[in-house]
Amino acid sequence: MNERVNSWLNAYHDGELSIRRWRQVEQHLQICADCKAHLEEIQAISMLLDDVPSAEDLLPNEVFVAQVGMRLPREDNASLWNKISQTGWRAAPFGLLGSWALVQAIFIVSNLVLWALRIVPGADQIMALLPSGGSSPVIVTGLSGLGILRAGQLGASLFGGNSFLGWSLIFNVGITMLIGLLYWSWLASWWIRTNGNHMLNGTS
Amino acid sequence: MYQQASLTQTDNDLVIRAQQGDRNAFCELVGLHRAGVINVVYRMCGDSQIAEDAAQEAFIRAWQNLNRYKPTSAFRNWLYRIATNAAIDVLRKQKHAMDIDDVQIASSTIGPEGSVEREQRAMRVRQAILALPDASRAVMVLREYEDLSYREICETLGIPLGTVMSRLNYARNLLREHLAPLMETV
Repeated sequence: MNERVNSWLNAYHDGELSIRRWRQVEQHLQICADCKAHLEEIQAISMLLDDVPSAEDLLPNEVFVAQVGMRLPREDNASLWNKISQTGWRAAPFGLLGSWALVQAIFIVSNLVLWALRIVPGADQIMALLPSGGSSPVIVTGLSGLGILRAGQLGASLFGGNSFLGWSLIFNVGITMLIGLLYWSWLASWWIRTNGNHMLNGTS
Repeated sequence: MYQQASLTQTDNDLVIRAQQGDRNAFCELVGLHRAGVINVVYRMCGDSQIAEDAAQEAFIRAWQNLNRYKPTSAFRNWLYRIATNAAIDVLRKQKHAMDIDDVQIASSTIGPEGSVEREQRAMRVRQAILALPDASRAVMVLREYEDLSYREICETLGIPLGTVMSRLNYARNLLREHLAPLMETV
């Protein structure tokens, strides 16, 4: 018995061999009684399987279709809400990225504006309109609050009294850290969801 | 071949409509594929009543997951994958379906007089099929009863070609062991 040809017998029986291999098997079967006997067993199994009657038709086709149609779940408000929340969850990283980009844009633009005001002649009059320090990000970003105010004062002391630089850096670093934290939380929950599903399905 | 191609085209049209929420289009798909799905499930579990229940379950799962279907493979193959999984799940829930006595009762009510021997042979073959591991049985059923090519079985079950061949080989070897006495009479 040729082991290699023997391993091809199932595929030969099923008509799945290439022409070249099919010829090889044909030639081998002429001279090998064992492989021929094995092939006959495979053919006999197929014949036995063919002999088993098919399923009884318990329900007429129309009744079966109607029953399935009635059992099909409708898309209710709950599933619509699920879809919306799923889409929102998937879009969350893009939203975070967008927020971070917006904050960076504001940071850069506000710095540029302030720098321009300082070097342009006659800008002193405009600067005088700004609150003390002349560069509070409260105006630039539209944000306010005691926490931010204190953080800005702390930042200003760290940067040699440059109130604006301190404010905006503290603000920028804070927002970046917050966005980073949210992103990593999202990533962790995505990992848990994915691996949880794999574990439930028993796949690796 | 032409019939298969036109069926696939019809499938694609109906699937697109069903994916847009058209329940009637999906019901048409059910009507077109009912026989094939029931046959796959029946060969997997060996009981007509369970097969109909599992087939209905398979169609409902298909409806719920229709948006995940990508027309890179035939809709029928995608459906058969759901059907084999539904059959395995139903069998696990209703273990009595595997009970040999139940199979005997079911088969003894089918045949007319004079075909007792044939019925008994069919019953033993059915028992041998049910004794196969789920994974090998699925491959064997799709090949022997649905006449799917190895490539189509790969697509249907989402397994590599080598796995299809080894599972089929394993299933046939087991059947050969279980059915050795019957094979002499064929």
